[in-house]
Amino acid sequence: MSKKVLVIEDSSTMRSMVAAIIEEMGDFAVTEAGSGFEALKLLPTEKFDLIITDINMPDINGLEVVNFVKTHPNYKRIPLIIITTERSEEDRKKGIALGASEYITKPFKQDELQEVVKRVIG
Amino acid sequence: MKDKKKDEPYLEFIAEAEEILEVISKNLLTMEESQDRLSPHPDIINAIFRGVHTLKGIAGMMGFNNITELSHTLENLLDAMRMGRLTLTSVVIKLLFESTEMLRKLVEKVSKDGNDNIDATRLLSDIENTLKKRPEEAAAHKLEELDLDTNILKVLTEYENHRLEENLRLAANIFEVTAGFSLETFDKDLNQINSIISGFGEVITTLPASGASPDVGIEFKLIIGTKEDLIYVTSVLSNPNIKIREIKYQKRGEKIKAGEHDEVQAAETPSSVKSLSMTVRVNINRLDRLLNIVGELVLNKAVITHISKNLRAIEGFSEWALELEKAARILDKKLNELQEGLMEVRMVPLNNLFDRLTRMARKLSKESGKIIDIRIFGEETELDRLMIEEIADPLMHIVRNAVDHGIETQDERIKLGKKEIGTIKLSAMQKGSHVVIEVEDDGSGIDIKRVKDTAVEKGLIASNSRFTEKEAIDLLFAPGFSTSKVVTEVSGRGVGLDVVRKNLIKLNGTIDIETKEKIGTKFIITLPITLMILKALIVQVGEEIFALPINSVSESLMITNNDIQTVEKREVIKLREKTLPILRLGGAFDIKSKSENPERMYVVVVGSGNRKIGFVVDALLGQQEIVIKSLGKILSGIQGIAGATELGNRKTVLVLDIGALIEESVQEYKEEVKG
Repeated sequence: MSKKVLVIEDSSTMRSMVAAIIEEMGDFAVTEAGSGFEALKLLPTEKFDLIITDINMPDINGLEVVNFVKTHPNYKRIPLIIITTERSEEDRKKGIALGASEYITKPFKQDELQEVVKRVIG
Repeated sequence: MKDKKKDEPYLEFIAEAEEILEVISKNLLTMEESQDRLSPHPDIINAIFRGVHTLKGIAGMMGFNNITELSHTLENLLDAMRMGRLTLTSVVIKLLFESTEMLRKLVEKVSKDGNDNIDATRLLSDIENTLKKRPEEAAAHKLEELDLDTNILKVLTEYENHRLEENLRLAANIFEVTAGFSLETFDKDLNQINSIISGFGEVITTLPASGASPDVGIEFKLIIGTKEDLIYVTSVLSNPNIKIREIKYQKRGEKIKAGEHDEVQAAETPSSVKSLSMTVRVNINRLDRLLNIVGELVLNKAVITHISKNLRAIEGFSEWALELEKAARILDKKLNELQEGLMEVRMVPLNNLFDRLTRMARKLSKESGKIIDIRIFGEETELDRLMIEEIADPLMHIVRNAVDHGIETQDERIKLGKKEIGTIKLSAMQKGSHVVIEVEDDGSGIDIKRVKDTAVEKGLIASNSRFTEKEAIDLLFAPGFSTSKVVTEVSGRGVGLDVVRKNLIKLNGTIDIETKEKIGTKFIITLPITLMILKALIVQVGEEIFALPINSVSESLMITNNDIQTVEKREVIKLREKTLPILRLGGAFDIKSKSENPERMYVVVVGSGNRKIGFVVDALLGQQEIVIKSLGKILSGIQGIAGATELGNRKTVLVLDIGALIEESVQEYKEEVKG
């Protein structure tokens, strides 16, 4: 059975790129969320194996997504990867402290992301 | 450019980049136009920052180095601004405008030539020079000493951290707002709360938590900063589901504002105990019931006025009659206020619906492999709550049509020399007591010839019928009409515009189409702001006056008795070579026509398609906007009457239910023919 990945990112270009990169790896089914709110609504609808989230988003930020998932009784076992920028080292540290498994810094290459995903759910 | 699959991210990039620049420009203009242009709402700067940040990210992934570099430098400038390290001056504003313009040029270059080779070094060095002049760093506030859940500090981004400090530095009050919602509606509910807060302060962060019932509900903590005090905040935000707490320094001595806080504290304790119900959610049916009661009261008031007039004629009562009249006038005024107030409560902005439409259009365009830019205007326009629900389906249908039949495929667009990316514009605006919603696409337009051919094919019209363009477009609304050659995933399943029009007529709305082949199509929907207000044609039959909703009237003409013929036991007239059945309203309602000149009467043509009929009346008294009021329980069962209204001269008249009258007359006719 293919693994289910939830990609949370408000930029549609970035989101479809991430989705395409992951789908290329083969056995992955990607669900896209354009905002943190949308993600919160999608979470109960499927059993996700991995969540990839951007940090800077308009409604709720990615750190809050990490915190929500990691403190929620139904989701706390889902691993998370955060997408950060070179600007936000502080945010990256916080994300990892909150329980994110890995991070990747924009802009990244296709194989970098695939590598990180493999590391987390191989 | 040849490989479509490869082009996809590239075109998506252009579409998103243009969208981002649009948002940036909009915010820059808001900033420029605001009274206090040098200290704008932090959300504005942050919105611009976020736009530039995203642009940098996607340009970086696509390898457009000039866009990446400029947006990177600009991001530094904006970051310094939002983090309080750079003061906003006219020079900075000018730089922001210039940079946006340059970014626009760069994106344009990409869309034209596939590269971003424009030299922007001068602008880059201007920005860098500005960045060197930094004010002294403000002393950091000790956030750890705030009486705040430490978990919250852990999830604040650097920017949010800064906003919290900035609010403290400016001696603003900080509140923690906790609220629980259902998983289905939390986004709508939160948006509502957010828009209230941005009216008097700033949302620093929104923190979700699983809450007490994680399977069905979700809890949010909002940290907000404002100059207002707890009493004010609780009064505008309160709801039994919302808890509000003021965040202070834990040690009393370190309070930012000494003394005056004690008062607020006193108010804080009881407020956490009693329910804070300054706002309530009400089932719309309850409001309807109240509105109906008001309608009935208005009719009762008319009775009082009538009695007072009769009373005046009786000797010895004239004084009382005057008093009674005065009281009736006040009653009337207050009833009007009550009605207006109730209607206002029902109004909600269109933005949620527009969001839904945008999301659907994006999804559909993705599925159909078309690249479409969706633009929204006037989403703050308000409409009756029920109305919004009722127009959702018709609008979805129209947007779906625009994606599926309107916008051409990319190849076709390139062949036609059009912009590769199609545009769908959704707009709304209020015009008097009506709201006009438009869905405009720059697609292929409606092929009038194909419409006619299809109509002939389906037997809707004879092959030799001559049609004006407008009449041909009208055919699109005929039941069962669809020109789409293939039944696609998206639309063209036979449920057509006839249903859309029918739904809109039910709401007393109208729909028009403007179309130009190869240029595009515009659907224009006009709706009364509420179901209660509509434009009416006022007609007279005998002594009686009736109001006819104008949206179902197509024309009116003058005829004489000689024009009326009888075909199959039914009265008809000839209207442009076609027979039009007529219904004498006098006969239908048992009213004696008292027209001075029985040779001259008027026919009001109502209905559409093959359900057209002419109402014969004595006189046309003009058009007027009316407020429909319910007839009350006793009279509500009468066929053919939709309600009552009051005209300016305080006369109560009946509003005809045209749909029902047509239905009834068609039914009767069928029975007669059968019999």
